[in-house]
Amino acid sequence: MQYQYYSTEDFLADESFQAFVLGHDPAAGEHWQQWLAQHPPQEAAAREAMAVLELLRTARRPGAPAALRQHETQKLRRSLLPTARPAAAPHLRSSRRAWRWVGALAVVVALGLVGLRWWGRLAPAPTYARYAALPGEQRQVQLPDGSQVVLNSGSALTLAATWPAGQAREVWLRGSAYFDVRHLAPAEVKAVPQAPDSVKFTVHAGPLDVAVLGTQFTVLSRGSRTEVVLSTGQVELSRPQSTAARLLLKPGELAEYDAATPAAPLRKRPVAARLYSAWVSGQLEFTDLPVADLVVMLQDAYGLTITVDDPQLLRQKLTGALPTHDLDGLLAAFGKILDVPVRRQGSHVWLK
Amino acid sequence: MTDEHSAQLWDAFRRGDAEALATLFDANYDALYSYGRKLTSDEELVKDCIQNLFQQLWRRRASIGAAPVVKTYLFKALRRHLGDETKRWSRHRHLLPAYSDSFEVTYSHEEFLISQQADAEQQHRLLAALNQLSKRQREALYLRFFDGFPYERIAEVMSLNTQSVRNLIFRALQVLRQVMLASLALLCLLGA
Repeated sequence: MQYQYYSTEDFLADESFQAFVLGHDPAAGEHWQQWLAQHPPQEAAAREAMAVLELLRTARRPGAPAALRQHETQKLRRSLLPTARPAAAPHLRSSRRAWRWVGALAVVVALGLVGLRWWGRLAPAPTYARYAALPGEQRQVQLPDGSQVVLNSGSALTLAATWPAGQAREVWLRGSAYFDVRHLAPAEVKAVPQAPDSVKFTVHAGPLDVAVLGTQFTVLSRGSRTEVVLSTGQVELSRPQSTAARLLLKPGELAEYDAATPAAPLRKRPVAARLYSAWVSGQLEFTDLPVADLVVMLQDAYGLTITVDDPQLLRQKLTGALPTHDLDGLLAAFGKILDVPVRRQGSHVWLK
Repeated sequence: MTDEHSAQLWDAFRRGDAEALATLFDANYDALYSYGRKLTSDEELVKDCIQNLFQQLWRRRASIGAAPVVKTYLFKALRRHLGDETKRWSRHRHLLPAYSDSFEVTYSHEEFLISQQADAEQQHRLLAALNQLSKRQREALYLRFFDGFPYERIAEVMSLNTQSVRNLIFRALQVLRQVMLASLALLCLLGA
């Protein structure tokens, strides 16, 4: 350390010395107290620097009024995606209402008992919750275990209304969704195939079962095809109705299943996973991405056949963003970036 | 809120946890609002920019990377948003010069509690000296002493290199040193 050559200026500019004087860092404080005691020749210079920094010790940032902070936080909460929650918990708030409900409940119970005697069996309570995103809208769903699901337009998710602890977590998906599953297994349990059912989370997507521990992944289904793209962690794919081998996916891999060719084994290939979850944010951002990769992704994600006349075009690299919510808007923007006319007929797109 | 806790919330928000983002907003609002108000006197603009910044983070969460230090990221982003807004405004009105160093950073009496070390006269001189510093010096000084940012993070926020930040703060502290020496000399004079 060359502190013994320090002048007042050097002490002033020293971050650790500043932290000591301002009391920001107790460790720095101890170090400097000791150092000063051991180096009396530097004391005068250090004292002078301390006096200057003392002037700033009382610096207080003006701050925001607490009411403003709370108001603004609420405003932000309202602006974030409307979050749907399963109606599992009772919603009785005021006691007067509660008593009215108790009365109503008593009547129901009495009638129920009469009915029970009469019919000899109890009618089953509704045990499933179902969430659907209308065409053209997305919906965010929070599951009872804290996992998050973003349902894409026209998709639906079904699950048990209550999830007792220690029981396998299961949901049934029709359509496409992005899953962010909470990890419940102890840290040492990492491999899905070896994990007990109690910590697994399974998405039943048609004939395909997608089992995970805690990961982020996207399930895309379109016509007869179902694709699973993994962002983080690990997923295990299986088809309970068939003897086909299970398949493990690593982050950045896409697995594809086509109900039109049920005998074919599950296949996987590496992809840019980020591109497949871009619809969640409504914006697909890319940096130095070859046009060829973007074309493959658009074909996969939107079920398109894209014909590109100029092979030179495919080698170009693009940086930018495309809107993902509406296909025609996306294609128009894509054409504009490439500076080529775009024509679409059904699911066939020409770039030339 | 510790850096680790912020980083956890940041990751949770990127995975789609809206409440985590709201928590980060609440925890950082005071610091961001104060910093914003240091850069511009337009309170509505500061409030709008902070809202827009967080709403944009939420919309882009799927493509946002891990933030090495959340607070630094937020400060830098707010600075950029405010700069863009100010620039847009001035272009619109053909009044103000295009943004380069147009942030106004001024200090007021409320920001310093009267301490035993500094009497009212010295406070006055101190403020006068602070407000005569260059805008960049004032901003760097603010980040260092009002928010406790290390040089490296100040450099990140202000898009400068660490050496420049060190120089800015050092020169600012030298000015303060002159103020202090002057008042010491005055004291000696009066005492004599």
